[in-house]
Amino acid sequence: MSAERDWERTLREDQYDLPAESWQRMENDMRSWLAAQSRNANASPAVTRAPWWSALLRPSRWGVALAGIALAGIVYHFQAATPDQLVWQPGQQRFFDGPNSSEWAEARCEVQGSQAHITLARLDEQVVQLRLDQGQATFLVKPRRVGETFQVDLTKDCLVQVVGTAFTVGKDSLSAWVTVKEGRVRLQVAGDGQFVDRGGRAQCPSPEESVGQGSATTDSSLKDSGEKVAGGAATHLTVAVPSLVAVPSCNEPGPCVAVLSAFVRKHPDHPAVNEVSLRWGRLAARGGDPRDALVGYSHVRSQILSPIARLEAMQLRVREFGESGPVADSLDRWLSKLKVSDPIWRQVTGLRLEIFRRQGNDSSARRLQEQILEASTAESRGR
Amino acid sequence: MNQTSRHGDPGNVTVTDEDLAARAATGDERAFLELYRRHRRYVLTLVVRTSGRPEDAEDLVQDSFFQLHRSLGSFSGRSSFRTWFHGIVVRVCHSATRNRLAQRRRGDADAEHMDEERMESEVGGDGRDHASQHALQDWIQGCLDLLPILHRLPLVLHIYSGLDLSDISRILAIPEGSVKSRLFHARKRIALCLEKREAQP
Repeated sequence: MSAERDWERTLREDQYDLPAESWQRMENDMRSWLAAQSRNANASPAVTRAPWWSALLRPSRWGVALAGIALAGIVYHFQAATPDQLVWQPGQQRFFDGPNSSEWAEARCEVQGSQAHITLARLDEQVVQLRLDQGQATFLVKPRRVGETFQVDLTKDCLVQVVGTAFTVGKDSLSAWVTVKEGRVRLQVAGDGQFVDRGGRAQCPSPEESVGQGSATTDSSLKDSGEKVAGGAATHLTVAVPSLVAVPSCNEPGPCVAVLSAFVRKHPDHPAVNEVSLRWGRLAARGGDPRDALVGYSHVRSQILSPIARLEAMQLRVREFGESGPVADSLDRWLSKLKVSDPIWRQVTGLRLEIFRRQGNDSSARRLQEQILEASTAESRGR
Repeated sequence: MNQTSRHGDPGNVTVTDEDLAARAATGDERAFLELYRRHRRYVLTLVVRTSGRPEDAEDLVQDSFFQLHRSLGSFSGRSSFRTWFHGIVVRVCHSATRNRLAQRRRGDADAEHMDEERMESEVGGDGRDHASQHALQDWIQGCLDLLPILHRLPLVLHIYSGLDLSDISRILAIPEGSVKSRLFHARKRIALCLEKREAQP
């Protein structure tokens, strides 16, 4: 039967589905959301008896009413006079010096510990976009409606969008990450989105490119924002950890490589050593010193960054040293342990494909290409 | 619920959707979750077909049900629950699509024009994007994705959801004549897209 005659039936009868665990997770999210809705409803029970203002009609209550009005006026006066209650304008950078608390229409911001610099990059009816420039702070984000987005820019190309639950984002001078406490968030890196589920953790790949380091620019590098919608639950964001040791922030090949390698050797136990080592490897590779780059990559030990460093080191070995054979063996062993769903699977497979092509093994390359395409199709269908 | 035999998940079919909606509107969480279980697969397919973005489908499904929960108080029962719920799902998807297009929009190019350009370029191209999608349903979804949202919505509601013209007209708030016209154009485009597939080796 031709496709033209068949397509309406196919469209009518075929259905998408998700894995059972995805449905279960969504149902759990739904339960949490319903519970939050229920709590909100209970917090403001409906008045079923006489209207509240009827009591004020009685002369005996006039004094109470007048006192209440006067008190409200006093409170309003003092609140309005507090700088923390000033409206936060888009483009404005706020400097919090020490523990502080302030509130604006979309969220409550609590600065903990040392200084924090936060810029409100964008504020309109649908999007609230914040940029953490420096320091640490906690946000209590008010519930978002459909079509509204709340996001925090962690680095130039890396941002977190609230999808509807609680999560923690952190940033120091070298790294930025998100850890999800409940539900899920979207982490968008260079335009590509990935969801991070409850208990998961993801890291921004270019920590040195912190947004607005020392700058108060208001231009947005965001793409594709505004798609995500948060649920009804309030969202807590805990932002940043100040660096206690001066970590080199240079990002150009040349002398910077020596600075980074010295830092790694001097502070082998520093929390930032993995990110610095990765940067060392990348800058050395860019600077035309692949051997030094391999040394830098070899210092990366963290569970999250070491696969990236390993892959980049393998790419160097193939492209700069022509070690296709040994690298292919390593890749095959690695691939046998990786799942298709692993985020790095595609890049590892891509390198294997490159080696097949370099070796002129067209049939294997074609087979691997089909495998990659099948994985893409299965992934899109699974979603 | 009579519709569950076709689209919904297996569940307690002795209680109608309308009854569950009434109970959920009074705060009965179990009734709401039952509605969710009955309709989630159907809504998932509907949002994929409508939005053309499988990667956002889970969020859109959740948003649809969040919105349903907020709107339950306004369900009067004049139309069936399913038809009424369609309106909610379509609005959620439409809103997400509009937001996305608004951000992609450049200069004077409006969203529909962009979609048309995309269709021309992709359908008229060498089809490499589709070469891996051997299954007909993938192709159909690919062709649907290329349709402008204005044409895609009536087609999905009519063919996948089985709604008649008057229901679609009410949901999309357009005259029935416009629904007919859009269906005609949508079918034509899908046929054109599928012809390209058949023409490929």
